[in-house]
Amino acid sequence: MDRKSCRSRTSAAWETRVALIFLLPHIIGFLVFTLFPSFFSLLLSTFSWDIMTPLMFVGLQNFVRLFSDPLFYKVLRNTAFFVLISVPLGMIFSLILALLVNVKLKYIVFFRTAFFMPKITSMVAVALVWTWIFNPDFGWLNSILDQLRLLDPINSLLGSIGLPPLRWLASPIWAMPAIIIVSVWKNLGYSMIMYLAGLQGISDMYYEAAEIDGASWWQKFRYVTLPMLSPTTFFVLVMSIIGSFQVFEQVFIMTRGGQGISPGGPLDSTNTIVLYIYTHAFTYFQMGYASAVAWILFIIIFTFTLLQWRFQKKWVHYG
Amino acid sequence: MENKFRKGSLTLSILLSVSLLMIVFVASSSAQKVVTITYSDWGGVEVQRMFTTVIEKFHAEYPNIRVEHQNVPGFTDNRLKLLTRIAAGTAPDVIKMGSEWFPSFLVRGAFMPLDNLIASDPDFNLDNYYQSVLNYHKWEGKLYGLPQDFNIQGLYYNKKLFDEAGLAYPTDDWSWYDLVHTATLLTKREDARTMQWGVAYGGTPSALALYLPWQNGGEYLDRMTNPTKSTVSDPATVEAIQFIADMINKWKIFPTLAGTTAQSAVDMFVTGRLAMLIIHHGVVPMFREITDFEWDTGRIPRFRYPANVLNAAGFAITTQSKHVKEAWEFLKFLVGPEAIAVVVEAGNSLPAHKGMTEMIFSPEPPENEDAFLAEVPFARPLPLMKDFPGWWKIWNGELEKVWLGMDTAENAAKRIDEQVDELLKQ
Repeated sequence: MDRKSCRSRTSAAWETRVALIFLLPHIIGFLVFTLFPSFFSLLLSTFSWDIMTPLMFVGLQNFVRLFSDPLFYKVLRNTAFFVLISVPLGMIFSLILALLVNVKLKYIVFFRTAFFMPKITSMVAVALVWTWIFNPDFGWLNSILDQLRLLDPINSLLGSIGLPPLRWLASPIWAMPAIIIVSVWKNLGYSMIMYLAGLQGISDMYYEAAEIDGASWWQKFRYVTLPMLSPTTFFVLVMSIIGSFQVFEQVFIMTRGGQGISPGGPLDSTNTIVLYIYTHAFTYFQMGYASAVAWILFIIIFTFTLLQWRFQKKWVHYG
Repeated sequence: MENKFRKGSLTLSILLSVSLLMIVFVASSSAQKVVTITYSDWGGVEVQRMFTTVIEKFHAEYPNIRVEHQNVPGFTDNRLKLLTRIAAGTAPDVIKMGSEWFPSFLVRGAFMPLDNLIASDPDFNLDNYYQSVLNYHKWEGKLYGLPQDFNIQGLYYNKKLFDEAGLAYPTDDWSWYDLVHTATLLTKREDARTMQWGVAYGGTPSALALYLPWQNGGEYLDRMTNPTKSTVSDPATVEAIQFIADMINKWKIFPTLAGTTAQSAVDMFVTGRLAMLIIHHGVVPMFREITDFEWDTGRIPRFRYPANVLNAAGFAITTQSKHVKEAWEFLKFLVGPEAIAVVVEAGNSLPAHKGMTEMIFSPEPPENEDAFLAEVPFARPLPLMKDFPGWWKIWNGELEKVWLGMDTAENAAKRIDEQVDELLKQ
């Protein structure tokens, strides 16, 4: 009896040790490449540093400066606009796609793969192609609209409500919508897969019960599907918001602007927080200032995520 | 007795060979110490190939210096990489950098002045190089870089589109008004979309505005190196800027913003949708592959006076370099005739070495290669200042409103002056 309990105690300790050893590479990587740099950047935000000359302590000056920079507020507005439009659009369309591919047809896997492909393609390649698609004169989009005799009526309609014509990346108003279209398109597949997994986790039992009660298609969706999907929806919502606040690549490539020195679109209409951080760090050589902005971004995203966690009890049903 | 002898001779022979090896090792390492230096630059596959050839030639001539080539595809990535390596204390020995960026680095002590090295080296003659290109790398009386090549603006035109419209080709003394008149006839619109543009610039109009004022006798800074005051409100400068805006918004012969990133203007020309393109010499190798139509070049049109802009990249030695002597040998080689011959052969740029001008003439198009050379005496470098990116942000930011037709050049000029004067005070 003694020997048996002795063995189980030793094997438990041994298992823990083995687990730690396996985890060690990841933990070391995390400490060195994620945790340490994060805290270093927090420290750095109180300094002024251009990499080549020594550090200079400036206290909270970087934060004071960013709160008095009109461009920072513009950048916040642009990013907020991007998040507010792209997240709901992305969630709705990916849910629709998930419902469409959630059928037991023979070659449905082909469609699931096809919808997922944009997610894994290089953003650089995607952005370059879409830049050409959005070209106001020869691009695929405006050409199709024109051939369908829709371009002129649309532009006139826009003109009558005081909006400029659809010149996409050349227009201060339409450049950001163009970026939103590309971003939503690229990420649809990922959220679709999440929703698909969630849909397939809903037991048929619920639908059968609803049918017996005489529920219509819409009622089934509203009272069975949506509530049962709420954990997935919560996950997609949180991840989408966190991700979209950090939009960078498509903006950097598609709205590069003059000489690659000042990306951000016509009149800075597509300048986002991360792009602002990047420009100040690597074009203006202001590492401390950029670090300060990065931590403000962290606080913003953290606040949003915290709010979502608090509110989830109100609408997310588990189990 | 026999065994002892064998054991003894074995030990002896081992000792002998080991000491022989050690002697050889010590002798060779002290006689021919190979120094390795690192050289970093940017560029795609073709540029890489060119520099690999150059480095191979260097290795043949200087067997005791090895050059480690570190190439990064994009210019921005190159700048970032250089920054991180300087921060880590492992900066490359020799670097290539875009000329407008030199001041940003050298005022922070990243590059070392070359004057002493040049003065104490009898083999090197600074007079071989075009003064205007060298000026790019001078700062407060010291020279920080040397150029291999440079680029200058020219006018490319699509002969087929001209023939179809029955128009005469651009001449070497064309004025901008001649160009506007011709471009108007060559711009074809179909409702909301312009199917063919008359003229475009290979870049944002704000870059064209960097040298058009010079053609009108206007300046936008009190001096071109380390300026102290912004003078955009100068009427001649305002007139030039407004002219560009009119080409876009009034006469509509010049595509608006999105259509004028360098790549799309070039694409437009290559696909036959653009009659005239103003851009530097770098597109010539690409244009030589055009089969759909014939093209040629001419001098850029002029306002009141001819004026052009120089673009160059320079090579510098970093202050962190631990092998300055070897780095200097390599730098000399890089800007010497052998290396320049390799780089300029493809036709992307023009040699900065005066003795090599015949190199640029080849049987391939363009026929009117003279047009570029003729512009050289009138070409000036871009402004050199500590915070070029900050200045460009103001310049481009305010001028964008003019290009979008939202404001006049005069108002934008006043705002630029205000903000730039603030910036220059720092």
